[in-house]
Amino acid sequence: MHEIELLNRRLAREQAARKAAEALLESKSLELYSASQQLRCLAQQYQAIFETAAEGIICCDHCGVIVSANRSARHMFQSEALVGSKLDNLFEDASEYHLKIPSATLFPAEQRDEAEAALRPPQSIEIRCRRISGGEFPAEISASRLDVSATSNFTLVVRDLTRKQRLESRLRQSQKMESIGQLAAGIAHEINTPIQFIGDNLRFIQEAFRQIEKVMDEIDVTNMARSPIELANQFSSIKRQAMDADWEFYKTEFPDALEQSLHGIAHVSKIVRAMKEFSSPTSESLSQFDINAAIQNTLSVAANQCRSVGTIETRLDPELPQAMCLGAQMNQVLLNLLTNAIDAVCEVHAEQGGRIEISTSRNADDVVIRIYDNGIGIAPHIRERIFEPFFTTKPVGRGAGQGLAFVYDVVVEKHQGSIQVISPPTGGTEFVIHLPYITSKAARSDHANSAN
Amino acid sequence: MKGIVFTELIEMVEKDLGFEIADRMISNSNTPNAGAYTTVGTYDHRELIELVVSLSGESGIPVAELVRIFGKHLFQTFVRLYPGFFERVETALDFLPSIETYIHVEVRKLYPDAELPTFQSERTESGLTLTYQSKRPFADLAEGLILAAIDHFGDTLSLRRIDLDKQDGTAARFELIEKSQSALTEGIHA
Repeated sequence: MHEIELLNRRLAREQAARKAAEALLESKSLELYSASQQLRCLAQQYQAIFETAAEGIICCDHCGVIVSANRSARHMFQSEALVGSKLDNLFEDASEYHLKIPSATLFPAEQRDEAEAALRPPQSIEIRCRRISGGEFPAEISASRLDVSATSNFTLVVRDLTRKQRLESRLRQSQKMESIGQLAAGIAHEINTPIQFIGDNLRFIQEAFRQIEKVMDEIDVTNMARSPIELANQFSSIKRQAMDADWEFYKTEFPDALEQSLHGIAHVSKIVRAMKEFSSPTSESLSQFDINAAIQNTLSVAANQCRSVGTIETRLDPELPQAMCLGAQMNQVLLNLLTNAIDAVCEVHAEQGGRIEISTSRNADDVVIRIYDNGIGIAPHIRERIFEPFFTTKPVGRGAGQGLAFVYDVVVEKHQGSIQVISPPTGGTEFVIHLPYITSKAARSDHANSAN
Repeated sequence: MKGIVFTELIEMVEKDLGFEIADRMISNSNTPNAGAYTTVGTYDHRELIELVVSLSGESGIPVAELVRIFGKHLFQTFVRLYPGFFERVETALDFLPSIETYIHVEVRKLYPDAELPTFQSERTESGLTLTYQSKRPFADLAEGLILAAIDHFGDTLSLRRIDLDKQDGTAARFELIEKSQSALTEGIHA
């Protein structure tokens, strides 16, 4: 074949290849443009989600320098200039959380592996945050780690707990007031009975005093008879008055009436004191708490309801040490368990067959509280659910399903204690609560320091 | 199959055997685009087989031998175009395992739909065993590439090929043995 012809054929192939390449290039350019548009659209969507999320989202680099922060985060920390600042400026005592908060200063190289383990899967912690403009707020933080191109980036989701904690506090207070409200009729009865007999006794004393006054008038020394005859007459009149006043009866009944009245006043005083303990504002900090005294207070407050139970027996360890507790919340726990026991007993024992036993004891680490009732018991199929919020077997209007949920929250979550429920098929229920003497790690540390 | 394989084949034939043989190879192979390949395009691998069969008819060189020769040529092209894959590697025994673990990973980033062969490697006391598997019968091409890699790094390795499965070129085991070890082994067998 002639060389020119060969070259022409080669040229034709090259031209065709070039056109194919150009067509391919154009098609790829369109694909690229389309992909780019989709990416831009996606990026805008993600940016909008990031920016408008209700939770604060903060991204930082491996040195703990903030590279982006969404609107909620800027609002929470009250700063429009979070980007570029150090992450650890945002948290109070961040060093306590050095394994969980990603920041170069808080996240030394030798702890990276441990920190990584702590971050996967993301775990949330509660921490106090610092506003740039001053002030603090409680928050829940979830941190996650993302490794891109051999560098680590961190994302923190920050949830402001201020409103939640305020609502929880109000809920606790309203639950407490609800309990007191439910007990009010019984408490009124408890106070009314002694008040009535104290009143009767006082009226008796008043009448007795009038009678004695008459006798005393007769023996008035300023009006004494001068002659023996007058004296005999006067003596005779005094004797008659004394007999009319039934002095012997008064001598017997007077001390009893006074003794009974003093007992009545002591009883009223005890109920009022117990009520005061219950209605005191909720303490948010742990303090020394006398569990035996709290049980006695609870029995006083619920004394009227307790009358519908045949026997209530207490076996309280007199040597029981005080435990670190949120006192007002623990009072509520005891009241909830007692009223549950009373309700359970009343369902099966209409008369006096019901029995409730409350005991306290101790072991090396815990105070142990047992509340037993011989009531209806808990069916096996609902045993797993009794601590769920809003779960109740009581009829509408009698129980909101918050009582045992509250008990669980206070004992397990807030005091790191435990609750065991024993309810055999034959009936009856026993709640066994283990409450550490010293609840939180921080409190243990404080306790150790003060002991030292 | 990516167009670069086709353009490189034609370029090799033009350079080594002349325009006329290349033209006849294309004319006789009856490919859909009459040899107008572009490096960025994607084509059916059977067109390559048709071209090589056609070339074999023109040159009198067996198809398998032609494909091996083309494999060696292609390796040189890769070295020229993608030097990054060959940096910081000193022997074929280090380079060949990286085909699967590095090069193919990078290829898939650019061409997610690419149907690549697999090269499972296993270091042995005497060298390396490389197992090739593909939907396409190009074990000869793989052999040419491996031979070129050994030459490129200046290694003293002997290569033994064992066809696997249907023995149709879709699966083969390549045993690379250090020459000293190879001699020893032969001695023992003798």
